[in-house]
Amino acid sequence: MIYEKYIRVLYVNLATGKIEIRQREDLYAYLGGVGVASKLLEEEMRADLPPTAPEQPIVFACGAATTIFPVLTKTVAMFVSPLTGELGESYAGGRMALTMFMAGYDAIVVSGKASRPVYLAINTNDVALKDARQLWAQGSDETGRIIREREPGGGKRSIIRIGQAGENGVSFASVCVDTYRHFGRLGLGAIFGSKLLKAISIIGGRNVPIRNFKDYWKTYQDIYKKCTDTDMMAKYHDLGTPINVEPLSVSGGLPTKNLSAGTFEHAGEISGEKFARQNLVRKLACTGCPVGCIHIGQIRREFDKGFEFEAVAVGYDYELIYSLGSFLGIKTTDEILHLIEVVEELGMDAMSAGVVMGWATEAFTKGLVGVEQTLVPLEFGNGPNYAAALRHLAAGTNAFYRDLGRGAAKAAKVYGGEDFAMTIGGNEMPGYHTGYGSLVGAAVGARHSHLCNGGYSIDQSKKEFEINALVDGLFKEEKERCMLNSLIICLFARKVYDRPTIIAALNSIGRPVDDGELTAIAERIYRTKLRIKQKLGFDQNAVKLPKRFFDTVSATGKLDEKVAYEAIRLYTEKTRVLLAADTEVK
Amino acid sequence: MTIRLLASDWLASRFRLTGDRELELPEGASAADAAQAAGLPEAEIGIHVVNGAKAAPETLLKEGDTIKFLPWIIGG
Repeated sequence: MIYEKYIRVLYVNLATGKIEIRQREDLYAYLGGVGVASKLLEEEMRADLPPTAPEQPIVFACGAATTIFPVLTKTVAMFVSPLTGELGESYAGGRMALTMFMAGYDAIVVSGKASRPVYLAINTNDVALKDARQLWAQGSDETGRIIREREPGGGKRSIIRIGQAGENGVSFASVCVDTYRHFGRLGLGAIFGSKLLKAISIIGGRNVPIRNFKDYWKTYQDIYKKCTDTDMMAKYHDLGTPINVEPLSVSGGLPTKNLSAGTFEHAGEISGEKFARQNLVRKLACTGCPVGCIHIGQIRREFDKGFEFEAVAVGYDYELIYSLGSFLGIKTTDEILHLIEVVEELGMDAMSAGVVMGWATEAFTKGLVGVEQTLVPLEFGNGPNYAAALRHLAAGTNAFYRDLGRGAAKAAKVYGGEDFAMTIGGNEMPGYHTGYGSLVGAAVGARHSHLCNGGYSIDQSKKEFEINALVDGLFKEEKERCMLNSLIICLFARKVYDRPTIIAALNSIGRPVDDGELTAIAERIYRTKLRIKQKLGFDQNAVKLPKRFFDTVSATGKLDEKVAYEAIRLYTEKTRVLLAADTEVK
Repeated sequence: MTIRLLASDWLASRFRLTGDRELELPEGASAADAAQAAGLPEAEIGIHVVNGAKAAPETLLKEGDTIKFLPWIIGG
């Protein structure tokens, strides 16, 4: 809590209905966000049980300076991932962080399994479990609409919810946050479903006055101006991350048709510019962000015979365009937005959904599976058939789709085709085939995401490749992001929040820190995450990378398997040293 | 020599380029020289594209080449 030396945690047990609030002074050293959430996950998780066991916790945490400064907009969710079986960590923007802060909670721990579908309603002075039987089987949008009516409090309210995929235990089911944001990766939605938890509504009414307003306001203004008066964030607002489509395709780093290529011949038709000219109708921002990077595209949908059309607004981003576009050979903006809408409604991680479809398409083409399993013929570029297949996937229509719902790596173990099941550490690949940085970065990243250490960024630095420099760069960035994610900064703004800015910001709100303490916090958090992974049985050196990564030339040339595994080994050695140097009491 | 500049939409709008146009450059000019002549700061350019293919900034241009500049990849 701001101005307090403790972390205020709300514990909710869905099985017993017990609700408890604890003020945890011992968590103060973890700053907030991912630091606090990691420690709570380590305390509460059961390494001896499967990820969807009722005893497993879901932990949410907002940051140490959530929404007090610009662009500190995110909430972290931590859990045991049903997709990888190890560390689950996912971030979402929207209003959730603000509402947690205003409701007076730094963190929320949800455990147990409800006896019937429920939603959790959190208000500043009240926490209740409410009947959600009516909501079960409803799509994400409809669930949000109904809860908005039941829980009035617009503006300071956040509603997070699952769709059909989460209810049916798809291992990469997502949780939708305030319509256009998501806890997308690693299957939080399936954990919600396993607990019969359909949604959480949070309404915050608390106000915390700033004590030293002069210092605070100066720091705030400095950060705000960097975000709005310089070019640092301009691209994010103008075209957003879809600006990446064209440069990645030209350089050979755009995963295309299940990464059988790194260049898409129709990249110009699905570029950021094309989306903006053809579909863009609005730009939105998470609460507390002056940038506004959420791009909303509009499509027409025929919902009935007799020329009955409606306009549908869908959020789009680079990762979605890659996974449901180039990766599946889809070559128009409208078709991609249609697929995004399907994934939204069903409540799945768009990246994993696209990548599993890429594997399924190639498995179908190669005869590893037949139409009696896929139910529709899968072929690159066929949007309507992918839409149908995604619905089978969320519904778990047959054994094939239920296997596919466990992720590409597990499906390939059953049906074959592991060489082209494009996963890294069990997580479906991100949209960067840029070189050793992106590949090794995701392999060693705590949650196997491009966001763990920004490896793709190292690839495009134009510096000559040197293995030790790569490993050092990834390790340094992974640690630093543990600290950034304890605040929790939107990583788009990581260049705005350099160390002096962070120190000035925290000092101005009564949390004195110096450079050394920030480094210690970063290491403390990273160690905690590494311990969690160890306890859950993860072995970094056992990670196997699909052969396709080495067959398809990347943006920085053909990758050598031996070099990639050597980089992983060197990185693992660094984590071993970090853990061995741990002298703190746990 | 004359080369053809194809400005990417974003860089063109951000740096007020007038869109696709001809550029007159001295013999021996490179892709980086073309960016300077077009008024684009080198630091803003992630990829130089000469005749449709990724090229190094020091790539020498010749009469009739087309050149395009693309921004850096962004993200979290």
